[in-house]
Amino acid sequence: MNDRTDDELDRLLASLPLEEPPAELRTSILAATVQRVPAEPVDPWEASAWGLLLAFAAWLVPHFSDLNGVIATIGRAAFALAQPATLVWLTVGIASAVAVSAIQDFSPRIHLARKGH
Amino acid sequence: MAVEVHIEAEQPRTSDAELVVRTLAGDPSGFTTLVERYERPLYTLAVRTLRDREEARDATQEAFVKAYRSLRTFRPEAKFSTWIFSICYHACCDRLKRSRRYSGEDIPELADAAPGPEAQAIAADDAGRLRAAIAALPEKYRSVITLYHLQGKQYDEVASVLGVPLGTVKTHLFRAKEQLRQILAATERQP
Repeated sequence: MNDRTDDELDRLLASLPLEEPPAELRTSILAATVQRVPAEPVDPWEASAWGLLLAFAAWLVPHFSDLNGVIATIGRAAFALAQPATLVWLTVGIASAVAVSAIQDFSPRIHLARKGH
Repeated sequence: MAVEVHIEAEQPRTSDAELVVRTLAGDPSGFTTLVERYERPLYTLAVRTLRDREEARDATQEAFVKAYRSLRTFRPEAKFSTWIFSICYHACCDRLKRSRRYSGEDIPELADAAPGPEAQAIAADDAGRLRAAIAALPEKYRSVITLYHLQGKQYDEVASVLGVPLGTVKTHLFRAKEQLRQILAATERQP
């Protein structure tokens, strides 16, 4: 074998079969790439609820010493929210937001699914 | 009795660049075909570079995952095979460094003098002897000789994958073949 010419050695090397990969390798590669399930995005309603909670907490902290004032403010806010005019405008706002999301596909969940990630 | 002969027209092979475009457009079959096409060559490169099938398996998977994640950075004018071989080779180098079997200063220039028990066991035939001889080569020679054949003897493509000058590839290839001849001769002399 050591007397082989360069061409003979080349031919011998070229004829060497490729290594056989483990049977499950392809499956695991595809599972880690094209078949990977995207991480569940945060639900918009969940994000809104957390936002409201955090905003309330941020507002509450500086007023924590004045508990009567806090209760009075919450009472006034609840009274204002219960007014028919407020409810009408809230309904109009929410309906508009839902309509815009449906038309322009602003939902992050749908956007991610289309990108295939 | 008439014999029905079906002559199937050979399907034109979709180019790698087209498969990349299809993948980027959201068609997973594009990347699946690329995996089918390059799984064995990449695994072969990894096995011969790392000399460890478990590590080679992980390096191959890592290379495909990295390629998939950075597919948008692939330039259409470049050769996909060179790009993905390069990713795989670097994944192998990282593993070699991590396992402390590889060091920039301490790469041996000469092949292992005596093949290990595993190499002796697989050296039963010509192909086995050749595999064992390649495995006995220093890391840079193993990679260059493997890539030379995987890349269709294109010196410039091998140089791109390894990130070394063209002259270095030629020198390494020449030395690799010399050492291969010596190892093969030594194994043939053994009983």
